[in-house]
Amino acid sequence: MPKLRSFQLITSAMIVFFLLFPFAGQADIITIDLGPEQSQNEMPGVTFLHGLHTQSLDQQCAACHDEKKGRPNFSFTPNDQPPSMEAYHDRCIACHVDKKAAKDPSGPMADQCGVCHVRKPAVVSSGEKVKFDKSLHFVHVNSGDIKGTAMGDQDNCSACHHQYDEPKKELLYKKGEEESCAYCHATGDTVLANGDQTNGKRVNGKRVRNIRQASHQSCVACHQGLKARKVSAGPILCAGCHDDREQAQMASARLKKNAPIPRLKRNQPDQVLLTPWEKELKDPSPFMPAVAFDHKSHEAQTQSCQSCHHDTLKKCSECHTLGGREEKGGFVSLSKAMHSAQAGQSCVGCHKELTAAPECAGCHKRMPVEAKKDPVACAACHNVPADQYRSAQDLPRLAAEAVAARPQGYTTVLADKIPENVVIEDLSKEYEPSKFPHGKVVRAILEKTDDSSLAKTFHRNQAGLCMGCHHNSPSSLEPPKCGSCHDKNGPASGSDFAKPGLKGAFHGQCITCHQEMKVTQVLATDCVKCHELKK
Amino acid sequence: MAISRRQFLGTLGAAVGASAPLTKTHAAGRQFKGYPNSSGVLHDTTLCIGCRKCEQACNQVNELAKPDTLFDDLTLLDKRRRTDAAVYTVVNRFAPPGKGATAPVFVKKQCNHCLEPACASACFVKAFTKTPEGAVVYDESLCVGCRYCMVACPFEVPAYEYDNPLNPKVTKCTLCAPRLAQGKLPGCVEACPREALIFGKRKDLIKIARQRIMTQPDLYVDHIYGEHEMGGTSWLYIAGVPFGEIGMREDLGTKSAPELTSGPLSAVPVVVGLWPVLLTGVYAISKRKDKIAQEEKQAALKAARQEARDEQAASLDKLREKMTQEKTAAINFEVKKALEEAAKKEESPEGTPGDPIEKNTTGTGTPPTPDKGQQED
Repeated sequence: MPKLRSFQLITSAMIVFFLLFPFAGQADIITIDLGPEQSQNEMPGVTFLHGLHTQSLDQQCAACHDEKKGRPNFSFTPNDQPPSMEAYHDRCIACHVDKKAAKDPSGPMADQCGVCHVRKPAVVSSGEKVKFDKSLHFVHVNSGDIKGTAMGDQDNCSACHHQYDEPKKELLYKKGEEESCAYCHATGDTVLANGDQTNGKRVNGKRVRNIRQASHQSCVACHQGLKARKVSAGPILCAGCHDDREQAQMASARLKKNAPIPRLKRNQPDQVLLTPWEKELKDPSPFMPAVAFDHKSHEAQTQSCQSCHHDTLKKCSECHTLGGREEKGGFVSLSKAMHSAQAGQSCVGCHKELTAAPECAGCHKRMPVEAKKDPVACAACHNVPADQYRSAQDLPRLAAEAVAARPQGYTTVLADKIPENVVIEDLSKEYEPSKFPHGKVVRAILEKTDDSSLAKTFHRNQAGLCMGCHHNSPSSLEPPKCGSCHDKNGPASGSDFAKPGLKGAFHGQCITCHQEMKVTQVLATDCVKCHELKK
Repeated sequence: MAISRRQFLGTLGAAVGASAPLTKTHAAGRQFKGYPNSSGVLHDTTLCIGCRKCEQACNQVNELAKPDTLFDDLTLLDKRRRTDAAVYTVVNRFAPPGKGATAPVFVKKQCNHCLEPACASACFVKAFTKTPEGAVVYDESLCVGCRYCMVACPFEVPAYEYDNPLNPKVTKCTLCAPRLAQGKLPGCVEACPREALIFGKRKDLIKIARQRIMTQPDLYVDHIYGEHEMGGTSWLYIAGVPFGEIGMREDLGTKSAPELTSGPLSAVPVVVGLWPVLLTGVYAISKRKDKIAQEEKQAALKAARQEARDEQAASLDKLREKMTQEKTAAINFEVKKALEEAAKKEESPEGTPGDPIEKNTTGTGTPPTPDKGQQED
């Protein structure tokens, strides 16, 4: 048995290792596939080892990529032509033939179709989407070598951020109106006749390139330029951006350890008052109190603006109107945009995702996902009564005041108010009553939530934490016994059919919590751990 | 024996004609949705911890043979087990691919007590009965041991006492029908510490299941297994992973076994009763056609022969007539010649040399005289 255990342990450790680091360093594999056209062809797509080619061509991009407007055009085909089978065949094979003639290491020839066109490639790309989070953004902002291109740009934002000016037909930069690249250069794979890859979206009347083409053409070209100037430059090879570990290493090498990432300089507000009414408020009585949203602290908690601002950095209510009748908001009302439990960008949805962490899941796993419909829960966010509002000029002041007025202190329950041991004896048949180490459990949970500002804000005080087990009754230091609500005779009796019986409630609370909080010392099937067998 | 095209088409037509009204009446037939107040059990697999208390309780309340290993030996969960002659229920452990080995899913398996049981429909001695209370019960006094029920069950549940040579029985979960009659819960449900098994009216259980799926959409797959599978079962399941990943068949469809088999089976009496008549009819018709054809052929032959004969006769007659004509003409000529000679003799002295000859000819030529007369007519 011990032998088997260790074998299992080693095997599973190896599996975990390979799952975590599959084909390490193989982010540089591109599948060349002509899309729908390809499916009509006999041959499968080509698994192209980009890294191998960059290496053997001494990182001379121009060997394969033509220049377009002074920068390498990172779509492979000649300028102003859509990709085609002929283009690939001509260039690839011609180069291979030349290399062979020069007695250099070379690739497959015209009669070796199956070497490139492999149906089940032996290696697959481990490339990830680039995670351009705030730390990577700060690396760029902080770089002295990246210079802004616009006049009067104190910072270097204009090096990357731009807008398209339709009348002048040129790119321009507007301070304070920077957006995320992906809002315009969204993903999409339409290939235009001139070889540009677009997402089918038009911004100010212009067809924009998709994020892949736009970022390769801008980022890689810029990195190359910096490298040519022999200054600190970003990655040029695939793995530098598309391999999570390499990217993280590169970013952390340029950041001060444990230093907080400074806020973005976009004149974003510190606090925002999210009002459930339109600009003019005539009668405040029918409205929910407004929400004083601490924008600044949320910036610190999230990795990028896109965590919430999924389409534009404008105000939420620009698209998500009160009625939700606008197409630009996807017909999602403001209320739904804030409360939808399914959307990661909504307040409730994001907070719910956070509660999936083991330290929270013990209590939160089986809580209903919808926002609670009780006034106390609502007041955690909706805390600025509508009658304080006079005009739109009040908004920043009200928001700032409400955020400042938030209770800073978190009242803890005195230790002598927390029972140390509780004997659970309401049900006892096969087993002796359970001696429940109540104090120990409370302290363990307390420890896990202690450094979470989210928990402290929403639990309001430590008595709120007690509600994890002593749920569905008003917060109190003397909560009713479980048997007050949960039936000794089991579930499904009477009209309250979904309520667990007492046995299910006891075991449900303890076991769910142990399982979700990864308390491996107490196995669910180890009955005598909690209650001794009757003799 | 070779079958002619006509015979084949005739048979086919009759077969289609005989079966068409049958299928039609079947399709428009009843749909049994279960007894209105029948009971069942809801198994919430997300709650099951794999403690085998249900197996133990089942063994005790049904007074089954003691197993080789104790019920608190959880290593048994490592291998996939099925129900057995002395094991009415088993709990199996699964490691669904999405969840990883750290989050095993335990699934209890036992008779699902179908609303329209396949075992009962396959049993030709009616040893299985679906009671209005919900259980599918087995009457060993009727059983002949054919084990068709074991073949029919899509969940592979009924087992057989192969080691009992004298009076072997089919065994399976009874939904604790005897205990229910005493107002007790099924043994497994009572023993489950986690309330992963809930006993109740089937319609209530469906509501509970729906409520759990609705309020905790992240925890559950939006499907109640057994609500419609095989026409519905009294035992219902909800789970956090697709049911195919926890060893439950997803290919069963929503039609009950009787619904699937009653069409072909109800055709048996018709086939046995009607088809001989029909096929005999088809045979008789084709035989009769053959006979008529034969007769027609005979008649045609006869007619042809007659015609040939008539033709022959006609040509004979013609020939004869021609001969007669020639003969008459010859006689007439001779007569004429004789008359002329006679007339010449009258003018000249009597007793010409030609006279006796003429008398002779006249003697032989007497019979045609009437012909001549006829001709003149």
